[in-house]
Amino acid sequence: MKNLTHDQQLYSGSPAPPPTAAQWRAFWQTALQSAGIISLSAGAIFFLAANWQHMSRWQRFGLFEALFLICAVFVWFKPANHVIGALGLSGLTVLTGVLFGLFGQTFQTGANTYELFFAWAALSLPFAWLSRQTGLWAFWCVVLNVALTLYAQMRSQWGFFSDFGEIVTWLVLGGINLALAWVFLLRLRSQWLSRFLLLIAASYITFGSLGLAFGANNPQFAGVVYLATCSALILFAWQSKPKDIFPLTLLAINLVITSTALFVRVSDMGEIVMFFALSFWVLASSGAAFTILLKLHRQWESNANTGAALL
Amino acid sequence: MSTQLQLEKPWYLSLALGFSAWFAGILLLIGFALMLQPDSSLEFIIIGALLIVASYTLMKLSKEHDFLGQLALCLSIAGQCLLIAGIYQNSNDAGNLALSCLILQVLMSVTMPSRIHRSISALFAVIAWAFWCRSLLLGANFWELIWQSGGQTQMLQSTGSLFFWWLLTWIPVIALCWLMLKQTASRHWITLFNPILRGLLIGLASASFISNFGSLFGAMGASSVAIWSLLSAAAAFVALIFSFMLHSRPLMGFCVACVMAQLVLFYYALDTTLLSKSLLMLVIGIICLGVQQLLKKQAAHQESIAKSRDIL
Repeated sequence: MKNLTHDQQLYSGSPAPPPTAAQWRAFWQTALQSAGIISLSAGAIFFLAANWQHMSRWQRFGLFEALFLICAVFVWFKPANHVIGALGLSGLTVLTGVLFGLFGQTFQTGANTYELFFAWAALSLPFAWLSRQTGLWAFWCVVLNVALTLYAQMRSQWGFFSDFGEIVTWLVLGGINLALAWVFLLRLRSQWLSRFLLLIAASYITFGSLGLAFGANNPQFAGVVYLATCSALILFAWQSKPKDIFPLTLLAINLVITSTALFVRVSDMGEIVMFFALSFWVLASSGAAFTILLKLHRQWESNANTGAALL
Repeated sequence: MSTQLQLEKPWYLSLALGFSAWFAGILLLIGFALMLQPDSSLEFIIIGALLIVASYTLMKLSKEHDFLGQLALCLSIAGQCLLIAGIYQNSNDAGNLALSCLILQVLMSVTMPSRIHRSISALFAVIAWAFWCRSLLLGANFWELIWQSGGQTQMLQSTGSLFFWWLLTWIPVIALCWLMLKQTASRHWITLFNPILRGLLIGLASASFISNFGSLFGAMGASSVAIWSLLSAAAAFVALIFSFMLHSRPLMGFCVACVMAQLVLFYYALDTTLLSKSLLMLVIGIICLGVQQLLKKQAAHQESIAKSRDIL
């Protein structure tokens, strides 16, 4: 510690070694495969958009069903870990939703939009399951969350700050995403997907807690549910292997935002004092929370290193 | 090594800290503006400079104290905004404003002893650089600079200067990133250059559309031109490669998101037909997958040679 100047202490890492030849090869393989699949998909979408007006109903359905069949053939003959198999499963997942959308648009079924997304999520679940790709699972989770959000919005009809039931709905959606994050962490061992879902969960929870801060009609029940979701975030951090402060960071951000909203609502200070006080509060609360989190992170890191050294 | 591990701070914690300091800085700025009500540009500049000096002193004192570090960052943000407002009031020229911002951000990124500050300053330096380059071509009317009009874009396209404008703006940024990447390999410079490089890479990946944000709200800016979006997607891809060389997964994720955002802007570019765009994307897709297959075969071939050597 004494050997480092103050400026050097600010940056803790040593220079990153340049990537090895094998790492470069893996990078280019993944980058080119992803870029190729995305470019081809975009090209197909642009082509369809260009010709959409000139196509009859049967041509539109025929085209998408043919694409669906081609993807199914890819999956039949190639395993999911092969580029063709992965492409096929991704195509099947996307085309399921496209066909639902096309059906609804053509025949004006009058169904709610959330029903389309729920059906899409339900029918594409086996494809995501078969693929075992975290990217496709992430896409599936986005579809499911769109369905859930549309459903919650339809229920609340945009009045989610007035009714405690609607606040609870947002908090429950946060809980569902927390559960999904846990499942993906356990089953797929995918930290980024788990964190992505935690981020979505925290957004829902913050939506709900802001509703609570600005005054719900019956805050007791919503408060209990909020506390339960906060406890679940804490439990998530402690039960992860290795222990992770990411859920706790999200909780800290949520607490800072919610307490700032409460501060605005409750205080009756003058304009100038209010801005200074708010600024100080944001700094103090975030500074305190992040100092504690950093200490915890270092403690967990050193415990993990000690454990690894013992093994 | 143990010291290095102890000092490690997760990226999301740094991000949250930076964001909260930024938000608090804006609140503080409003508080100062309401309390002191500066009138002349000199008053703005003096208050801004004092806040920056206070911030620098606090950063030097704060060391491991996160709260003081946060407060210092917050004061610096408020100070910079006041300083820039003072400079603009004095000259009333948007080109000068962009250049002043650029110089200020470069100075801040070099002098301020805080990693988060260096990264934020480097990002804003790239945005200021993009605005300054634009002011050289389009003149220095503030709102025209911010909200680039369709007429200006057409004028640039018709003279063919849009392409050269992009090169003029972004090639130096790419070159600077490359130089810094080379320098971060040295232990001596890593403290200074690593955070700056991260800020520059965020800028390289995103600033081509951040600095054209008029187009995000419907203005026919440069982002609504197909070639601009494609080149910007390429820049974000270059930033992705540099992020890979830094072994930074969060930065890589951000660069991928920026490439996708440029693809969406490319779809909405009205100067090219959808059919041409679709053909271009199909060709790019085929080339990418073809090269990927070639690389795969080459890797398998090399592996088999290595195995046969082992057997021999």
